[in-house]
Amino acid sequence: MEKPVNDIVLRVEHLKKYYPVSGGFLSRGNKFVKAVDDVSFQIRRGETFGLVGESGCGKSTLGKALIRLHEPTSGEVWLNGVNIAALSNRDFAPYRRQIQIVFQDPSASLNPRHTIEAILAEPFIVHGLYKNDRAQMKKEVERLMELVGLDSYMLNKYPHELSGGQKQRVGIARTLALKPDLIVQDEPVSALDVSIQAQIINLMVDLQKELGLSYLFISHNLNVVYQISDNVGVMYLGRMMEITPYQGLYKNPAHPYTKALLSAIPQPECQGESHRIILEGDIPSPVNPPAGCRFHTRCRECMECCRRKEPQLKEIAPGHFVACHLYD
Amino acid sequence: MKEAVLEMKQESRLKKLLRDFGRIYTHNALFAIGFTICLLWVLVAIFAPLIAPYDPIAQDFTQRFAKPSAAHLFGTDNFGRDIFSRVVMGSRTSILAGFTTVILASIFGTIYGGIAGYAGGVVDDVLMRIAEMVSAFPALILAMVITSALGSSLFNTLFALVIVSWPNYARVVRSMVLTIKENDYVAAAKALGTKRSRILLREIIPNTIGQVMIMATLELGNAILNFAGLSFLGLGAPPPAPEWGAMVSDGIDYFFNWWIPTFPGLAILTMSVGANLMGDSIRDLMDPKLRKNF
Repeated sequence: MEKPVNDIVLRVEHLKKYYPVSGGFLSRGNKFVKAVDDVSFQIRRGETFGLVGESGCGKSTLGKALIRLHEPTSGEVWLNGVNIAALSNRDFAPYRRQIQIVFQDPSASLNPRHTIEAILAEPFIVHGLYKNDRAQMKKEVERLMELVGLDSYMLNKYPHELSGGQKQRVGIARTLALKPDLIVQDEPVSALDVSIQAQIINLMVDLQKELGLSYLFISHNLNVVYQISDNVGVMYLGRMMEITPYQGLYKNPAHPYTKALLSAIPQPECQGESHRIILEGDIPSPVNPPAGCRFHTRCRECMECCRRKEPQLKEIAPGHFVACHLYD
Repeated sequence: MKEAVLEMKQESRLKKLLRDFGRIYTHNALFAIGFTICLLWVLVAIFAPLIAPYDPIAQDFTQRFAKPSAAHLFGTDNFGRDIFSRVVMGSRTSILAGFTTVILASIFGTIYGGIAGYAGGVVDDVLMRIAEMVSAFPALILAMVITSALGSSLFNTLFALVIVSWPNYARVVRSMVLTIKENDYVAAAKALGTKRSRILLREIIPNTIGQVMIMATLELGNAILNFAGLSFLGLGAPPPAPEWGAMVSDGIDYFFNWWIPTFPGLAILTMSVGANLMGDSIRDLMDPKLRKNF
């Protein structure tokens, strides 16, 4: 598919999301969990941006801060040229149509009390679409079902009567109702069977081609991200460590953390020997991240300057950004 | 063809509910007993004028303190009034009072607790402290204070009963809402741009209804008991009207005519036990996930 090069759907600038730590009386207000700490990236129209990192690195928080399910602490989120992070809740309401989210657990994201039809009609009702035309609304709901490959007889069913894959299809259909430009996919397949994962991913790819959607695809599964992404961002402890076109992720990963992540993917043995890079120690606490480069406590290439100075993202090849002193 | 299938599905909704009900009724003895007792009382209340052989307030001094017999099934009281007729007619007041109290208190308590739980923060603190203040007083005493301050009438008694019972619902609903609001479907609704009031009413509160129904059914027994208690103390329906609690109260002056307090007392007992049994088992009917298992 052709992609207009400069058409940017989402540009995130220095986004931060801190959670205050409610400690004792004395330390109150002093400490924060820096879940997302100064992250910048951008997504072009029709593109998929994969976001990977181990659990607790802040990738889900980032996704939820973008659609303001968690209010960002600071930073800018430019959606179609509008800084939605700076809008009041009331002013943001109309822009919600442009950015939607698919959740990780399809069972938890559908209200058990509503039928599938009620769930899919909700976006229209909330935004006052087809107000006086129930028949048209019903048709739209049926069209959504068709889009995600579900039979319309399921409309009268309740979520608990559907399989996990079907529920996730309903979750996707709900986000499509408002014809958004960008969909945040928060680990949309990690709660599903492997065979169903492939189906859902294929569905997403098809929908993207058909409707010209952009995705922020959050996952801890590098293989899944590799399959679907145009660009991949690697996060560690609330920071973006590397942003690379998807080919670059496997061919020439630059950051030592990315290399370690890649080496941790299980390989079939016939593909030759794999060099495992074993990371020592645990992920440090995001309340008190290490000074300098956040990764230096576990990095095998750690140098003197890494302990003192925090590296910034630098472009080392076209579209390939790394935050590491090795490339200074 | 597909249309036909759809229509069949919709038509069978009610049938499915009835079938589920039948299954619960035949599989759950406690529910069956409780439901039967309540149903009987409701039927008695509806057809009371047809069942009662005498006028419940007609006095007959030739028949004072008559023992239970074929003519007076439950005997007569100090005014020669037929106790059976009075118990039957009294069921109307008691059941009406019980249901009204429970329905009003649960609606108010649910919305109150829902707002507190969903809003959180200062709103939550203030609202719940008020609720706690109300529930800090012993229910019956608070109800007595309210009724005697407003003057004793049926309406004021019901008002007092609603005032003392809504904090229970508010507390339970609030704590449920605290967990429900963390669900992804609430986040999804928020992401769609749903208004907070709509999220509360459409996404959150429907998920508390099962619990509220159970509470309401359990509280039904309580409400009837409290109403009888207030009437017993002379704060319910005004005297000549037949009311179970008031009848028991009348009876204690005539201790050796045991039938005077016993039969209205038994009526109170069966009604509240029936409601409690039903409340314990009604959750299974309300929870769509558990429905399958019956």
